[in-house]
Amino acid sequence: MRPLTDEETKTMFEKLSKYIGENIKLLVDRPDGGYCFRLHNDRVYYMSEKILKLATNVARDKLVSVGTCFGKFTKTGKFRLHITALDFLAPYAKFKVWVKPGTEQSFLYGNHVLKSGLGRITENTAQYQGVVVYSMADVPLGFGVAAKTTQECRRMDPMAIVVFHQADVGEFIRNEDTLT
Amino acid sequence: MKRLYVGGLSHSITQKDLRDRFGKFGSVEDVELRTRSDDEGVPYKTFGYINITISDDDFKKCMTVLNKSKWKGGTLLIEPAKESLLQRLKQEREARTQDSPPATHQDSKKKVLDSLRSAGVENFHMKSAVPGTEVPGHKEWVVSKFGRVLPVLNLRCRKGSKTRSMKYDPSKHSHNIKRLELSADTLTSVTQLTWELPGGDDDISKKRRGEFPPTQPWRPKRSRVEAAPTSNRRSNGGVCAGEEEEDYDSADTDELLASNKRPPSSLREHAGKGSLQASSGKDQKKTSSSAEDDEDDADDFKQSDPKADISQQATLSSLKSSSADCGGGGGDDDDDDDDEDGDEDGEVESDGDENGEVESDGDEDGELKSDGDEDGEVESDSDEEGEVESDGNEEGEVASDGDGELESDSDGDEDLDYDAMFSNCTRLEVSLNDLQRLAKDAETATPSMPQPLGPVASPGPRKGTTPEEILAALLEEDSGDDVKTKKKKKKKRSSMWSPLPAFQGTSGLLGEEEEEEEEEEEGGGSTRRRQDMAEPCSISQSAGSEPQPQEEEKQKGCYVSVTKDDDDSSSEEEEEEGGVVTADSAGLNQETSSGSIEEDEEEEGGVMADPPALSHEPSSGSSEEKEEEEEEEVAGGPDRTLDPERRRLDNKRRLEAVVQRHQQNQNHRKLIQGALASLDTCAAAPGQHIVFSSDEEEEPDDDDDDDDDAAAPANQRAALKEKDKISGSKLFEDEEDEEEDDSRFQIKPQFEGRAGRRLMEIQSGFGTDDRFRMDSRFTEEEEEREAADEVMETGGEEEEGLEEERKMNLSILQSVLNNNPQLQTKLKTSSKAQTFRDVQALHYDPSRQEHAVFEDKMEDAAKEGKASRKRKKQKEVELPEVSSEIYYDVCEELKGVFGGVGPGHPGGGAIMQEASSWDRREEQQEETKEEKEEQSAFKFSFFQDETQTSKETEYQVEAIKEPRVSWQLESGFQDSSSEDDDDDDAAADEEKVQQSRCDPAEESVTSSNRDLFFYYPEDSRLTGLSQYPQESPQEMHQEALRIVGNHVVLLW
Repeated sequence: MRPLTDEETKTMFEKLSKYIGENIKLLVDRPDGGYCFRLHNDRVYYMSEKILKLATNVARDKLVSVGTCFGKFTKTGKFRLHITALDFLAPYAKFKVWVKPGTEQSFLYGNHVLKSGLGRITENTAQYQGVVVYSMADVPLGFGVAAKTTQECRRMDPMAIVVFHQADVGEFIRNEDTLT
Repeated sequence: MKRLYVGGLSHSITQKDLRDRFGKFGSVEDVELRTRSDDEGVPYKTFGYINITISDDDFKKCMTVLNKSKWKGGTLLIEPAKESLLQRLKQEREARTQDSPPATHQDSKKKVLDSLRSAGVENFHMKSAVPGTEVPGHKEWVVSKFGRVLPVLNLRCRKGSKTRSMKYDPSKHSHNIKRLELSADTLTSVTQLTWELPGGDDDISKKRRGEFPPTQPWRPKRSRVEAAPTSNRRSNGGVCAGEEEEDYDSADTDELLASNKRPPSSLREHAGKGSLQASSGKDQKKTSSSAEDDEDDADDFKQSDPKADISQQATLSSLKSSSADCGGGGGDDDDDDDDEDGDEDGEVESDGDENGEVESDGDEDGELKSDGDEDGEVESDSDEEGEVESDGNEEGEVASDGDGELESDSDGDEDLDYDAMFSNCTRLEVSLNDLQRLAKDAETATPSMPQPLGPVASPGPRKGTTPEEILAALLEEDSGDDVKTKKKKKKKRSSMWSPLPAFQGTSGLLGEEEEEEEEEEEGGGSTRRRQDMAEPCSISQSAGSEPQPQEEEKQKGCYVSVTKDDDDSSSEEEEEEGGVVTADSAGLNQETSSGSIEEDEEEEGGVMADPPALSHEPSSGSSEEKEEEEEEEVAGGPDRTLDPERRRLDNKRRLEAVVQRHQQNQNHRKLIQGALASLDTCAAAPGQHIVFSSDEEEEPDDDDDDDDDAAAPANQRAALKEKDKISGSKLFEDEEDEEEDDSRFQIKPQFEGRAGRRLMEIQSGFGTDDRFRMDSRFTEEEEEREAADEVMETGGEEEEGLEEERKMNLSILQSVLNNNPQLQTKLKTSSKAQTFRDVQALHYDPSRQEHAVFEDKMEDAAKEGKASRKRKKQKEVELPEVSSEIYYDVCEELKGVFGGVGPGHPGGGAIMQEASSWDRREEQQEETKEEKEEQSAFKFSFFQDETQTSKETEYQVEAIKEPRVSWQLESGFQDSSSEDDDDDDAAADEEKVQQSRCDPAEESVTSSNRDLFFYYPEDSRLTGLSQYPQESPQEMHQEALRIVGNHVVLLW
């Protein structure tokens, strides 16, 4: 477990900023105590400093997970967001997409969101903007990427994809073994 | 030899015929005849093959002669044919036998192998070849899995009736190939295939084989607490081991005490305590009158003491009882004294409020009671020390040797701190006089004492806090050569050292110290020590106690040394004195051991080294009991009796808080009373009521307690609230509600941590009663210390590192986002944070600033009301502006038409217009009015002319187009006009009725305005008009009315 390098931090922040913009600041510099990002097994964990201290007592190879996994660095050095980060990102999400109840399940099975299943969408969503997908009951379901701008979404045909699937809470079951 | 095909034969031809026919050209060897016949057996085609040896010339002749010649009803067709299969085979065989003289099977195999070898294949294996590559020079050999070279096979397979050949390329099926390792295992015989498990002599394998060890008698398990020391003792293997083991197994401190050979001393001590107790009781009585408030509270606590003692601190009480057994009931006496004191003081004010909060803290009774006065202190301490003291004789060495010295020390230390002084006293057998004197001194000192004694703050002015000082002192001591004096000095030093505050943070010395200790303890160290030390008890104790803390140290890993300076000094001494050192170092070691115990304990508690505690603990010195205590603490027992000093401080703080709250409450009460009284007097005056608006609830109780603390945020909140109020209260503010909800479930800061949990428990005992809410001041100091300690321990490095990291992260974030997020202050609390307010606890407190919000400012409101009312009136009075647009224009022709109407029935025209006004209520413009005026005037002039042309038709048109004249509605005018008409038409009456009917319904909204809109009373225009009917002749009137009446009927 080690702190992230500058490059890694940059990569990760760039990814996170797609979803929560400058609200990353609130993650890094929290008013309720120190929190930090740590890299372990190519995964980025977000934990309080208290836990960080505790985790130092665990051997590196024995440490499976600590804090909350935000995502992992792929072999190509890109950062891939994990669904476990949803709890921390959803409150700060800048752009949101609400899906209709029927599409909820489809999305939770890992499918993209079609226009027909689009309930609401934040105004001024740009294309390829990271969004947090909510159910109509405002339960965060996962991450996505807007395939079209809000304006374009208006005149899309119903079967066109409006949100690319990135991660969803269904992964907690589907990828139970790899989510740490 | 040739084979000829002969077709076109007749069906009757025989082989002989053919043979004869072709015999002319050559010798016919074989004739073969075939006949094709259809389904019915009728032959339709016959042909034959002839093997004939013939020369080419003959063959040509034969062809020319016989080909296409007619023979027996058929045309012969002769063609050279392929050799027959049999023939060919025969030929081949012959050729083979001739050409290749026998190439044996072996040879071919060898050949193939050779050729393969030449191609780089060794034993049908080609190394480093990808499966699928062909072996060079061998088309049908392919490299397969494992580099194995295999032939491509052509397999024939039969599926049903069809047969087909299939090429089997081993490289394409390489995944099917499995390497069969030749197992080198020797075959095991059947007899060996029995259940025989390999294994050693360990228990499990034996049990597997069915061999069970002989049953052992059941032994009672040892509790975890005892296990550790016992094992330590065993491992240490001192001389005393055998004896003490039993004691520890029995798990009773009584026996432990009994095993020590010095009951008299403990007895003496307890006796001293008892007397001390009595004296203190007296003292308290004296002082009781002076500090009434405190004592009232304290009495409350006292009453609850015994229960708390019993319930919460079982262990402690057991210890007490043990000490009582051993030392003649000193501890019990103490308790009794406590209770007596409480009773004697009498005057129990059942305040109830504060009672509960500290009540459950158990045995802090004495301290609580004695908050203000020093005697109580003595009492309480003696309580606890009684327990410790009973064991204290174990230490022996210091106690027995250094009576005089220590006494003097304590005298010297008096001015330092009453805590330190006190602990010193308890360690010794101090005379009663001494104690009394001390008490007096302390009493004078107490008021000036900073009550929630900060552990960090206290060690400031003391001597010997820095290692340099200590070192200097030691060096001084070292100048003397005599060992005896050295020893004495050392003792002195130990006593001197005791009040010294903890020295922390030189972690570099750690390793050295530990090593040294180990050296001392292991090997023959213990025996040497025994020789040097006079008291066996002390040795046994040292032997027993040292390893334990050390082990603990090791376990903990992080070890902030308190005794570092001491150890340092000891090592130095060793160096200097060489061989003589052993005794001294041993003595020192004992000290260090006790020191380390303290330190352990402190670490357990997470508390920074507390000087009074330090001074106290080496004196008590019963490391065995310490261990047990520690264990208890580790086990998470609820009692924190272990550090009396700390506890006392905590309790002091609490008591203070209680008193403060009490005072505050009283103040509040007074204020409220005053406020209410003043209110009552004013109550008669109307509009002076203080209205408690329900939505503005009271601030939570926390703020209530510490106004001074929370004044600023509370004010802010109040301000916010006011602002809200001004801006207009919104009914449904979801966000705010949510926030409120959130905050409701957030853990309040004072309930965090261990101490917080305890506080929570205490508070939960009182349910949700608002009056018993506890704030941070009731938490034990421990936690603060813990926190402080943590900060100290972790050191600046990590914090700095994290801080740096955070900054770096932010800078990166900045670069990512292209703006600059600023580092917030860490503990920035949102000023907007909503707090949950209990509706039940809502009450109005006139003393509080923020509650001024609740007061309704009646006068202002009234003023405002008046002003607004006036304004309203004005608004009502004001006539609305009228647009200058012209909706309606009257053309000249229409005037003419109207004029035509007018002369006959001027009054009728008016009524006619009225009728139209009911139909459509158009807004009338001033200008049109004026025009109307002109018109009427004009009309009036026409009346004189008395021209009547095409009245009726014109009227109809007019009835629709004529603008409504609102002034007609004015009743006065109406009446006048109707009055003027002597004989009212039925129609006219009807109209009136209808008008009255319609008016309220349709015009009610605008009537007031409309009445005032265009006209005002005494309008000159109206007066002018009102005059006109008088001038008009009667007949005209009547006629006009009649006509109008017709129209009206039509219209309705």
